[in-house]
Amino acid sequence: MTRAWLIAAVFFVAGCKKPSAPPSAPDADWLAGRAVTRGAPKNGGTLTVRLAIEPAGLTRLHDAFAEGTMTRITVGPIYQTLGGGLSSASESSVDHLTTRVTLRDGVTFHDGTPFTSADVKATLETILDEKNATSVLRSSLETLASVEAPDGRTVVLRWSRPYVFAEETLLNAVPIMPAHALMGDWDTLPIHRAPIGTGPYRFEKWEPGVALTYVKADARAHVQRIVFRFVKDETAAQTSWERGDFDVMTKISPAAWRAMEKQPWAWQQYQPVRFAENTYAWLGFNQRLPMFRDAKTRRALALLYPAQLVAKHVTLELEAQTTCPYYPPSKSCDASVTPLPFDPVQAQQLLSEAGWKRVDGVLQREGTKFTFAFLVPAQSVRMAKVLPLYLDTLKAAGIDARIETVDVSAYMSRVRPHDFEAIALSWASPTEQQDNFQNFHSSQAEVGSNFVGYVSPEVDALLEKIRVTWNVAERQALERQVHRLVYDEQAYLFLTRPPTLDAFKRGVQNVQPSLAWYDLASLWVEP
Amino acid sequence: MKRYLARRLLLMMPTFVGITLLTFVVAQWAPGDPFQLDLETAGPSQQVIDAQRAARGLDAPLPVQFGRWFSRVVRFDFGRSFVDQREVTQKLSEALPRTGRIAGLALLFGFGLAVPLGVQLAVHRRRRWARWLEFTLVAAWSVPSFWLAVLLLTFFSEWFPVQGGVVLPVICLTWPTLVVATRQVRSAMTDALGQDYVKAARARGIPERRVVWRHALRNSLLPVVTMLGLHLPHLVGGSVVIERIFSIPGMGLLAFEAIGSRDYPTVMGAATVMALVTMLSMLLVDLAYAFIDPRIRLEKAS
Repeated sequence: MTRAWLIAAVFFVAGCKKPSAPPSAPDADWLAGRAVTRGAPKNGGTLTVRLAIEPAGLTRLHDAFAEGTMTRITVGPIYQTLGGGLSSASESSVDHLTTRVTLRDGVTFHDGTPFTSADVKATLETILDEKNATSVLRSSLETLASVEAPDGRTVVLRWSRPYVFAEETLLNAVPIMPAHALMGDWDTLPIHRAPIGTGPYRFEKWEPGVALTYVKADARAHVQRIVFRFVKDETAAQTSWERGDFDVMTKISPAAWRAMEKQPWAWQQYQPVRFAENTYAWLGFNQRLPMFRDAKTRRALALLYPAQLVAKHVTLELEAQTTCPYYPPSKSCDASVTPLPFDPVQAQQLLSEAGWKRVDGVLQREGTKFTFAFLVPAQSVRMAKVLPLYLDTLKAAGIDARIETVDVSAYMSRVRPHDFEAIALSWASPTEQQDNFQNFHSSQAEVGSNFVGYVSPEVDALLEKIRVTWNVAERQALERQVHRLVYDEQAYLFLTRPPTLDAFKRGVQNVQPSLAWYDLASLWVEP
Repeated sequence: MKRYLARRLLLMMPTFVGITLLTFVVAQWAPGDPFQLDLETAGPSQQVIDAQRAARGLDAPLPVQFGRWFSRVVRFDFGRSFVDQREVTQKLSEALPRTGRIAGLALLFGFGLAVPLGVQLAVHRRRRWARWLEFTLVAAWSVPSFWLAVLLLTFFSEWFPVQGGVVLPVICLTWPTLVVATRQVRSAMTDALGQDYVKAARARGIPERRVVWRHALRNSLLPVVTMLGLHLPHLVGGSVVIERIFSIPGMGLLAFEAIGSRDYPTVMGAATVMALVTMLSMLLVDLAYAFIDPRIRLEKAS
């Protein structure tokens, strides 16, 4: 009797102490990396986000900062674009040579100055000014001929020729800054270190090497403060995460992600979030070299890639194999294109059709051996694991490939002048719409990003047509053709789409992943 | 003495030019380019990169570049970082105190504990506990500090802050200094205790404590001072591994990351500061010699 009472008392106490007991095992949503929102929005609190890299600056206009993923993530809550809340309407003329944008009323910058058409004009003219290191955005806006501000609420843009993606860039990729903050020497403007925008958060402070703090600007945001903490070391980040120091843990490795399932602290305290950004990894063969010039050889190389082995041992079944240079959930990808299987027999057949013969275990064609090196940046942990697996299957097929590791900054200075045989790279885009002209058009093989030297008159014609096709459905039909062609001819050896692997503390609600990371303003924190 | 000091300071100038020239050349010869951006996006075209190089004077011949750079350095102007466009002097002045604080504490604890510990080990060298301690020190010597750092992080992160804390990194940095310095003091003391003047001092009836801590210790301090001098540059050099693991944005990380991104102004700024401090600490060591051992006459020695 006494014992029964005691047990009942223990249960009662335990029940009182923890009204919402932590789950005893990870559920389906948890395992899939889907955040579920509970309750109604609450204001206040602080959100601490771990970042593995510190942004170099906080304006996406500057070349040195524009491309960095970290800059993109961190400036997200500070600025707005014309398409992202600053305009109420925009219309293009029939010939697509004029765009008229009507601005929203009553918007003010964080420093109190009202937002007008002069700010749009100043921002765009800063980009267009040849003196400024703003060439990355300038090249996307190369067709922008002039910017006029007939009145405070209207901006008129004139284009030198129609180009559909320029309008996309203008509306969605240009953060608008106050005109007064853009005066002076561009390189050393204070706004690079202390941004002023119209977004839901305003800049508070930046302690270099330590942390970056934003504070809620107005009612659009819920969480009072966002602190980005720079923790570069993996072990240190892992330790802090286990201690519960971060509300958002970012850049979780596939191995750590899989380990979470077995760690009670992880599923009791955190909700993992897994989603696909618009990024894909690929291997490229320098098609200027005779050995990689024919598509048959390149298809054989794809048939020899051990995708399943890589998925099992390196990416731990977390990454989707891809065949498409566009964003797969969109209609720009042809769903009927299937990845080439791992098939050494078919590969051998293709290789002999392409004229390769085995001599002393190594393939030869016209007296030259099939031997080459993969140029890999030293910091690429993934490629250091993936390539040895591939090298084995290549070797078995009589292809003698090696790995040549170089420093990251030396890497691109080898890739740009095409001083390589094979490379490993990945492309990322913060938007769904993307122009693949730079990557696959033959005109870009000398100076652009067509590093592999892919040449196809058919693809050239399609890419040119895509750039002047305003109808989305029509454009996507053309893009699907590009997808099929570049995959059939193996412009790249398309690998996988690495997902973003993050974890949010259980109390963080309304996690909305997007192609541009998360909408931090929509989050709230349960006390 | 004054003449000696003046001559040494004058001699430092060519040495300084030599060191900076060497750093400059090595940095330029390393393959790579500071204007290659994020690997994941197409990035700027080659023309744009060339224009940026020209804007920063990187298209000029190397001797001209070095000349320009050196003329600014003598005014302590290192220019702006290629990575974040900030003044290098500003970046250095943020990183220096952080590194100086933990390295200074490590130096203080390392040598502060090594001297009494080494003396005790030498005096009681025949005792069993001293031999065990001796053995432990050798074993401890072979523990790499990055491993120690990870261990400390794993087991003590409950009590000490992981980011920006002082205790754990100071322990990691003190460790190797303490081990090496203790062994140095011990062996120098053991030598000294066997010398005739120690026997003579004892024979004259001077208390043992005084013999050990005054007569013997003073004579065994020379190698320790040399070691201390060699450790001084750590005050500004920092440790890449420790600073990375404990998220301390100090000099080690600053220089390391600058080298990785070919941020020449920052690399050269950090190298210059380290060169200066290294040369100054060597001078300090020489001066300390004369102070400790009156037999060393600087005028003659030079």
